[in-house]
Amino acid sequence: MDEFRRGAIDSLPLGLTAAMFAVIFGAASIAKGLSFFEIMTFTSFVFAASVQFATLSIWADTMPFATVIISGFLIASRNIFAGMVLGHTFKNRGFLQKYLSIFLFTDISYVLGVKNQNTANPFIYMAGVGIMVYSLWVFGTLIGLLVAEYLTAAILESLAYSGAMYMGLLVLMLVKPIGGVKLPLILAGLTTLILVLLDASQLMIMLGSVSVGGICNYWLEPQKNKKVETENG
Amino acid sequence: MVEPWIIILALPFVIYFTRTLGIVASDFIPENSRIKSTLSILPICAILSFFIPAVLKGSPYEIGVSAFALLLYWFSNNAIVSMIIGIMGLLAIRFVF
Repeated sequence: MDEFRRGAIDSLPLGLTAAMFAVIFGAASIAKGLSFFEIMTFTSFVFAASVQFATLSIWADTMPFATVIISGFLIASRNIFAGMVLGHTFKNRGFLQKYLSIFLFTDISYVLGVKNQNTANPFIYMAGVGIMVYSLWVFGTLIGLLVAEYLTAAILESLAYSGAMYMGLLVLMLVKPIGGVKLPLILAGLTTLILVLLDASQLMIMLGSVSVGGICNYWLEPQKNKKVETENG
Repeated sequence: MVEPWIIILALPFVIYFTRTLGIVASDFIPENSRIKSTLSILPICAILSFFIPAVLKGSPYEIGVSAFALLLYWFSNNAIVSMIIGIMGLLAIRFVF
């Protein structure tokens, strides 16, 4: 139970930040005309801020199924890479723990899971993180529904931009444990910037960034190891 | 074109599919330092590819406030304080400029 409690406590700073976005989501959903039942079902089952906001932007009485599903897949596709890392963390933990972990898996649980992968039981730790973040997310949405009428469009717009800031925070949290900003990340960032300026699609931007970062790191890693070996004599 | 409830039911499957795909793929990826190090870079690159376009949509003031909040986190390691200051800054910009 200690691991579970530690996970829940560790997730509070990021979870509370996520809850702020849940408040925005709840209020913005009311503004879009969703019913209470639709909003709470949506937030409880989907539980993925970026996908929820993207879907909300095209919410209507009828929606283009393929567009919503493909954009949802593209936005959530970073989970594929995170899942690869998570799979290695749970390598000796059995089938059930490995696949049950996907249900409460978020960017926050990934960030904290990577930082604390040497805990006695990473599954229990991440369950603590996941359940705390899930509760804060659902509770935040509910608060958003209740305060929606008091928030003006200008406030909602400002708060919506803070989503970009939140993603930046996640990047920094992942960068710190690997020893700071590395050359592959700088090149991936530059590739993203160039593709944005060229008006490329989101899929192309992500593939470009991931390919450049991944290939560059894979190529540089043996050279880094050689340098360390030389320094150690 | 479909009704919203179909989207609400279908989206979780898409999200769980991406997570499962990654975990299944990890079974086929050898665990050595070179690959492990590269795998740890990929999610950061993926988030960067959403972060940079999103941040560029803001005004210069909004970009400045975001940069300040992120620098504050980098040096203080305090996520809550950085985000609160960042969000207050964004609200201040909206009402001052």
